[in-house]
Amino acid sequence: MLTDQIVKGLLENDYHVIKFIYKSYYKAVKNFVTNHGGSNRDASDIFQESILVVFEKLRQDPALIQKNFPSYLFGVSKYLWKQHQRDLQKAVHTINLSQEVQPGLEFAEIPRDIEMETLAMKEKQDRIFQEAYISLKPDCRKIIDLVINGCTVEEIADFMDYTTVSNAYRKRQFCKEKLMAYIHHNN
Amino acid sequence: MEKLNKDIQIDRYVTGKLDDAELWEFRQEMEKNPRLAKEVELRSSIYKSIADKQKLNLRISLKAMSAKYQVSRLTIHSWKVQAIAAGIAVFLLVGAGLLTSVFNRSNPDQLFESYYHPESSLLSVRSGSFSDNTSLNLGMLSYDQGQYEESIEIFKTIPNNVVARLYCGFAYMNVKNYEAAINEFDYVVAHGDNLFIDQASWFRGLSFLADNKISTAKSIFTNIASQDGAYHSKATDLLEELKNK
Repeated sequence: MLTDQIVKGLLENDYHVIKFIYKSYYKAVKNFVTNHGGSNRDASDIFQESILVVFEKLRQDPALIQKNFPSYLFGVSKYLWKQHQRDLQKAVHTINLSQEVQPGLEFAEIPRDIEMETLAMKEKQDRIFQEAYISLKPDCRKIIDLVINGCTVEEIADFMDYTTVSNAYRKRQFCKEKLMAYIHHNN
Repeated sequence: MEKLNKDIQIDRYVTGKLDDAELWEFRQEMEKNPRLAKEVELRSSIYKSIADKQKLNLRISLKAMSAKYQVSRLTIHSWKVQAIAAGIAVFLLVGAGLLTSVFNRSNPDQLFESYYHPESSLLSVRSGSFSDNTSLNLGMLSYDQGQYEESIEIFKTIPNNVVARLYCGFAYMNVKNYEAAINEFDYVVAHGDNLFIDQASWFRGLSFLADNKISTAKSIFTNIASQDGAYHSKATDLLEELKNK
């Protein structure tokens, strides 16, 4: 699959492209992470995080990664794993920067700059916020969507078919507390 | 109550619903109260992130793909375990063969079990700004994780979505609520303008079979077998086995 097909598919959340990315590149990232002190779970998290960071960068400028998608994805994975190790204050020197992710696969060297730090930070934040939303029950997600769209409590009562406005108040408060509890617990 | 009102006021500020006078007053208050300013900043980031449905949908798809990929890549490394597993497999195959020859799939339950293969999700839901897609993706995610009751609850929030109705039907089948499953497949078939009519018809027939409504199931399979669709040969085979029922 060509890089521009992957880029387009990723931006459109295309199932076949996502499957292709997993099938083609997950093993290499998993090998890298597990060979450098990480678990399978770490590898899975880093891989997802890397795809979302690449996605964010593509959204800003699709032309940036036109040359070699896997090389860039591996570079981001390596960058994020190093950052994770730094956060845990583990021995960074155990990571051999010149080591290939997998024989025959090239990976870009991503410099530690403000742009990449910001993208990684944003992804960490989005992950907590969006996971919190995903963890809610469907009716709570609907209410949170209505709140975000600026609906009043009266409008929420109407939309959700609540018999009284005070019910809507209570439910709105309950859902927001659930959302915030998840965020505070995971932050 | 005052706390609740402040909470609503923050939401109105973040979502741009304060009028000019309220806005001016609120900004003044934020300047004097750093805790309030911090709360506003946090809430603004949270809402912005949740409103980003394109990224949210991709995250959901990746979670589902990751779960699928881990399951499909589970391997048994130990040769001893592999040998034991192979032994069990041979035993089961022989056992299954014997059972099949003895009973010859003589009752509808057995026929249903041999023809019913649960569908896994397609996850081909394109991202966009519509929360419908998010609900569909979330429903698929729950479905893929085997949380069928939860997926039904989510699919029911988008009753006009054909894919949601189809997968809601599959989810009902998985919890053995065939009557409800038939309702969902009825919707997909009656809708007419979609790519899932063959699939819905086939699973509708299987649901009737599982519910022991043999003559209705037969007439559905006869209809499928008479057409040149994807389930033509399966329906023909199944009808052959149902001949004397």
